[in-house]
Amino acid sequence: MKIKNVEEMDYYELLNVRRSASLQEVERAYHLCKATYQKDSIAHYSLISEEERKAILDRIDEAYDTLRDSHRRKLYDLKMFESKEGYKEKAFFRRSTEKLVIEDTADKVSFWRKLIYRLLSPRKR
Amino acid sequence: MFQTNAERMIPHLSIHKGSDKTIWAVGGGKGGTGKSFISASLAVHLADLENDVALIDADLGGPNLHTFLGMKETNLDLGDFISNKVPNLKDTVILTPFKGLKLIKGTENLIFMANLNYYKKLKLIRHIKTFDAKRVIVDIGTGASYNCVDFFLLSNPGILVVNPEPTSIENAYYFLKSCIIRILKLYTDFYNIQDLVNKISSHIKDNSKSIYSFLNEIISHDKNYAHILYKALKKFRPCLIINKARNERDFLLGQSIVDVVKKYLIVDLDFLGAIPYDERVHLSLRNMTPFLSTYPDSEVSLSFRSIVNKLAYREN
Repeated sequence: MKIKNVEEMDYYELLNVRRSASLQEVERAYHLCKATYQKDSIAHYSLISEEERKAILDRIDEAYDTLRDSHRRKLYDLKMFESKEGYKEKAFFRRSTEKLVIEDTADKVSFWRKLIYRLLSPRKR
Repeated sequence: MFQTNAERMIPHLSIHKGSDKTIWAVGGGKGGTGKSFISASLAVHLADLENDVALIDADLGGPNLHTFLGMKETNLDLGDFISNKVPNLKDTVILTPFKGLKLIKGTENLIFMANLNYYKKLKLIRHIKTFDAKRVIVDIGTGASYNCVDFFLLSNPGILVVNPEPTSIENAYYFLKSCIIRILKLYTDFYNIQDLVNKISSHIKDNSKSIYSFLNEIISHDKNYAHILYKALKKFRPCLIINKARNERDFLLGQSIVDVVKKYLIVDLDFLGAIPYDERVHLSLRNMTPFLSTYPDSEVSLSFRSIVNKLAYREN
C-alpha cells in the first residue's frame, strides 16, 4: 500500500480524468486545473506554498501536452502499463498459444475411452 | 453496511447505519458564511417535500435559526435538555409556522454552552441520533473546536459552507484539517496506538504534505493500522456549498476547491452547487420572513432545490 502525493500522481490523476477520457474532456479538465492553481486563484489559499503551486502548474502543463497528442498519449499509456507490477512481456500471446495447444489435444473422455477400448479388445495374433 | 470495530465503538462515528434516518450538519468554520440561512432554507424546502424534518440549532456561540424562521421567543431550548431540566431532547421541540418542520432552538446561555463537557456532548449526540424524525438538520456554530467537529462527523453528510473569499476558504481548510485530526485521533485512541496519537496533531498542523508523510510513516511501521486509518479518511466524504456567488468564477470555485482538497488533504468532497448572491436575502431577514417562501421562483430558491436533489441522489 502506498499513498500517492501530488508528485507521484500520473497525468490522468493529476487532471482528474478517466483513462478513456476524450480530447474534449482532457481540455476541459486542463482549463479547470489551470484556473485552480493560477496565482490569483483563491482555491488554494493558505493550503499550499508558492513552490508547490508552481510545481503542480508545471506538471499540469506537462500532462496536458502529453494527453492531447494521441501519439505521445499512446506511448505514455504503454510506459505506464509496462511499469506496472506483475507486467510480463508477451504474456498474453503465450497464454493464448497455450490455450490453442490444449484445444488441439484430445479431450480427457475420449482418451480414457480409447485406453479402455484398447485394453478390453482382444489382441490380434 | 459493513462497519469497522472502531465505527461501532466510537459514538461520533457510529452513525445511524441501518436506519432510514438522515442527519445533515451544516458547518464551515467561519462566521457569517450563511450556515444558518442554508440550514433553515434546506429544512423549509425538505419539510415541504417530506413532512417530517427536525432542525437543531447547535450553534453554541450565537443561535439564531429561529429568527430565520420568523420566530421570536420560545419557552424551551437546547440548554434545558443539557442542564437536565427536561429528560429528553424531544421535550424541547417547538413547532414552527411550517408544516412538518420542528425546531430545537439553541441556548443563549453562552458560558453554559462554552463549557459543554464531553459526557454532555455524548448525551446530546446520542439523542440526536435517536431523534424521532426522518430528517434531522443540525446547524453547527462557528469555529473548528472539537464540539463543532464532532457534530459535523456525526452527520452523513456534513455540509461545508464557503464564501468566495480567502478568509472563508482559509477557515474551511482549517476546519477540514481539524476533522482529519479528529478522525485519526479517534481511531488511534480506539486501537491504542499511543505513540502515534501525539504525533498526529503536530504532523498535520504544520502543512498539508505531512498528511502523506504521516500516513506513509505508519505504513512503514504497520501496514494494517495504516490501512485502517486510510480507509477511515476515505469514508469521510463531506459536501460543499459555495454561498454568495457573484460571478462565473465564483461558481467554478467549488470544483477547484474539490480538486485542491482531494490532492492535498486526501479527502473527497462532493460539490453540491453554488447559491447566487441576492440582496433580497438580507431584506427577508430584516422582515423576519423565510426567503424560500417569499421568493419561491428566485435563482436562490432554484439552487436550493437542485442542492436537495443532489443530496437525495447521493443517498440513493
